[in-house]
This record gives sequence, C-alpha cells and structure tokens, in this order.
Amino acid sequence: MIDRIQDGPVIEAQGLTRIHGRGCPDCVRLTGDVHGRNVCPACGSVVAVAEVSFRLWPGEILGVMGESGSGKSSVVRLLHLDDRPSAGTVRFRESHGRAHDLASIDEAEARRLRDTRFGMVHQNPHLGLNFGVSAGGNIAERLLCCGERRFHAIREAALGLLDRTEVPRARIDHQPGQFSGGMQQRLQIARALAPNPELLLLDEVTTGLDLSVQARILDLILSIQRDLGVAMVVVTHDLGVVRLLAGRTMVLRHGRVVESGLTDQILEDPQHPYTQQLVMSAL
Amino acid sequence: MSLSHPVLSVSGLSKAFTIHQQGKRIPSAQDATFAVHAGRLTALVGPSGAGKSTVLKCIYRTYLPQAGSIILHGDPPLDLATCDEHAALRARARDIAYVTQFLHCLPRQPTVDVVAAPLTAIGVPLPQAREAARIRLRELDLPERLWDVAPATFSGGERQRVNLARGLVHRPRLLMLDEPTASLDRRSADLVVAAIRAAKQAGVAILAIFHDPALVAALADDVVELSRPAEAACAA
Repeated sequence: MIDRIQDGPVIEAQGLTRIHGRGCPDCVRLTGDVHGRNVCPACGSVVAVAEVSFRLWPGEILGVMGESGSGKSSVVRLLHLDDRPSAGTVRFRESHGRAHDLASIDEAEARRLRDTRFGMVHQNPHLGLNFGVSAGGNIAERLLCCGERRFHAIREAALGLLDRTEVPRARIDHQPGQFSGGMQQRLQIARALAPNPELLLLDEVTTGLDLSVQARILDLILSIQRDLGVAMVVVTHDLGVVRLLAGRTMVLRHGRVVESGLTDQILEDPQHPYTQQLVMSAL
Repeated sequence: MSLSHPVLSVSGLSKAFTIHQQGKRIPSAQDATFAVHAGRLTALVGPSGAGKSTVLKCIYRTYLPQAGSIILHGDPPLDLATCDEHAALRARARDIAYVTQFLHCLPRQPTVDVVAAPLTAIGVPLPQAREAARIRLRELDLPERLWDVAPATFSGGERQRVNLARGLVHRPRLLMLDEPTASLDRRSADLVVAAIRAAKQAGVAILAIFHDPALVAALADDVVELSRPAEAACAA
C-alpha cells in the first residue's frame, strides 16, 4: 500500500555484513564482485554478505535475486534473527512505532519478534513445518506463541488461515507429510501468517514446484499483499518471480549488492554487467 | 477555461544503452526538451529510432537516463530522473499512467480486477475499485460478458481497451500512450480515440506516440519532433 509510505520503513538495513570464520581487517576489501570471490584470500574466512543496505516499506515486496552462493539466503537469515551480523545495523519498526536494532537485540526479544512479528516460508517445507503434528497443529503452535489459549478461537483462526491459503478445511487434522508439495507450501504460508506478522520472508518458495503449482502460490502471495499489506522480502533466482511479485529488486553477487532498482528497470535497463548477463540469459 | 498549467517538464533528456559484454554504447534519445500541459495532448513524432518510446520509458523510470531532468510538477515537484525509488513508485501509483500497445498484467486475473488494480494499489477497497473499473469498462464499450474473464484470450482491440481503462481508472494527472491504436480495427480505434478525447476534457495531461499522422493531426495540441541521435555519439 503506497499510502503507508509516510509511516516510514519497516526494515532499514545499513552496511549489513556477515563473515563466517575468524575474519581479518582485509576480509571486506579483498572480496566481493570486483574480486570475483567471497572467500578472503588473507584469512580464509567466508564473507557471506557485506555492506548490504536497503529499506523495506510497509506493504512492499522487495525481490532479492542472485545465483546460489550470492548471499541472498544469508540476508534472510539475518533478517529473521537466525543469525547475527558481524557488522552493520538492521532497524525493524513495529507498526505501533516501537523500533529495534536487530543486530544487537537479546535472544528473548529475538524470539518474541520471530514468534509474533515475523513470518518465514522456506524452500524446504521440512524447515518451515512440524511434520509431527497436524496442519491445524502447525498453525496452532504459532497462535500459542502469541498467547492465544482458547481452543475454539485457535481452531477458528486455523480454519480461516486454511481458507485464506486454499488448503481444504477437511485436511486440518492431516499431517503435512500427506500433503502435495504445493499444499505444503501453502500450509507454510498459513503458518507464517498466523500471528498477523509485519514482515514476511519468502526464501525460494516456488523453486522445484510444477509451473501450475507455482502460479497458484504466486497468485496467493499477491492476494496476501493486496489484502493484508504485509511487507515481504522475496528471495529467488527466478526472474519471472520478481517480475510478477516485486516492485523493487536487489541483485546480489558474491555477497554484495551489485544493482538495485525498480524491478522493471532492472529487467529492461540493467546497468551492471552481471545483471545484463542474467537478464540476457533468461530471454 | 482555466489557463492550462504544465504537469510535466522534460529538459535535455538523453539516454544511451551500454552493453558491457559487447563493449557497445547505443544512443537512443538525445536532448529531448518539451512540456506536457493539463488538458492538452503532446504528440512525440520523429523517425523510427529517434527514441520516442525511450523518452516515455525514462519518464516512467523503466529506463535510467544519462542526462536531463524530468520534472513532475506538484507540491513539491519531483525529478523523475533522479528521485528515489519510492518516490518514483508513488508517482506511478498516484500520478502517471502508461499505456502501451501490449497489455502487461497478471495472468489469470479477471479483467475487472486487472482494471481495478491501480486503485487497490493505493488502498481503495476492492468492491469500490471494482465498481470504478466497471464504469471505465462500460465507457470503453467492452462487452460485459468479458469482465470476469482473464484478458489472455481477448482480441487486440479488446485488450487495448482494457489497457486504457486501467490507465484511466485512478484518474492520473499524466497519461502516456505508446501507439494506443496500433493494429486496432476501425471501431476499436474510434472507441480509444473517444476515450483519449474524454480524458483530455477531464484535464489529464497526455503524452502520446501515434503511428498514424492523421491521429496526430486530430488529437495533438502540441507536437514535439525528436530526431535520431547523431552517429558521433556512438563512440563508447
């Protein structure tokens, strides 16, 4: 929802850097797209991402594109507080105005944010769903985290979320292992949406699915954006996905942002040699 | 009639494409300068390759220009050549409609929702947005039986009318048209022309490219001639 832009960004990342390994003063300088590597030649540390800055506004979908190893999933892990940056700040602003620096937040507050303010959908449903409990149970877990204790309220909310994500109500007591791949992804989305989050992170959610199943999930994501206005980060290596979903796109390579802009500009007038190559090879 | 004020002022706009892999630089538009006024239609004319479509895409920020300014007047005025991405998105959502001869829309979406999309994007509730969309579709005489169908199977004329209905539904201040009547039959073209006239009457500033000189003569209040960029500019 463009009108909510005045409210200020939901996420404001500044100089986000994550180095795996002991690190040295030259790690950032000696890696990145210019050098064509993300392993520091001086100390052998892996610079997963470095100096990534962006803003995400309420209701906006930001595409994060790049090949495997480019650092796109690292960005998502940092946003979801599954990992902490080596340097840089990430400001997260809740809708009622309270702001946090995700880089320095304590573990209890991190858990609260993950449980109640963020939603995450993984490429691999085994990471996003609990296969030991029913579809309804998967949603209930999230609602319980938000403090809901009334059985009927939870069941009603779960049914509503299944409707919302086009999972048949009759499947509420079935375990995710009995679902098709597309339905598992839709259940992951239902589970992610349960606490009514302010930030939804989607990591390669349509990768490996049949085209018709992909289409249905992409449509679902767009209708969620239209109806709920939740801000989303969509990580993908698929140009078609950003074309369809994202208003703006950031292109990563060797852990650096090589280009960012309006998605149609990235696709029709790419500036960076790598983006040009990426766009040309897709046509 | 009130004095017509400029909605858009383009000055010294130049755009060239650099293709890194081939080490080439291809100039496309050079030093375009003109203004578009409320309630008037400015036609961009010139030979093929003069950069007419490029100028529209620079204004829409699909292309990034190398030089020049693109001022969308308002309070405050906005330079679309240099403003930040959110300001550009906001201008797109509220002020600028861009209609090409192709219908870019989400597949699988019913026509009425395709047309309503610019309204829902600025927060208008879906039922009201759909009502406004139906009014536009009726004006453009698109048969009602098609409203709930996705436009993928429509004829060129029908698609073009959907496209224009969507461009006008949120009452933009600036409407950009790139060959809106190309390959349309006579009746569809007449309906599109009537809609353009109505938009002009309603005070919309229109910037258009027509393939047909008769349309320029019939609709344009101002004509801007672009020429092909000089070959000298080709040196990388």
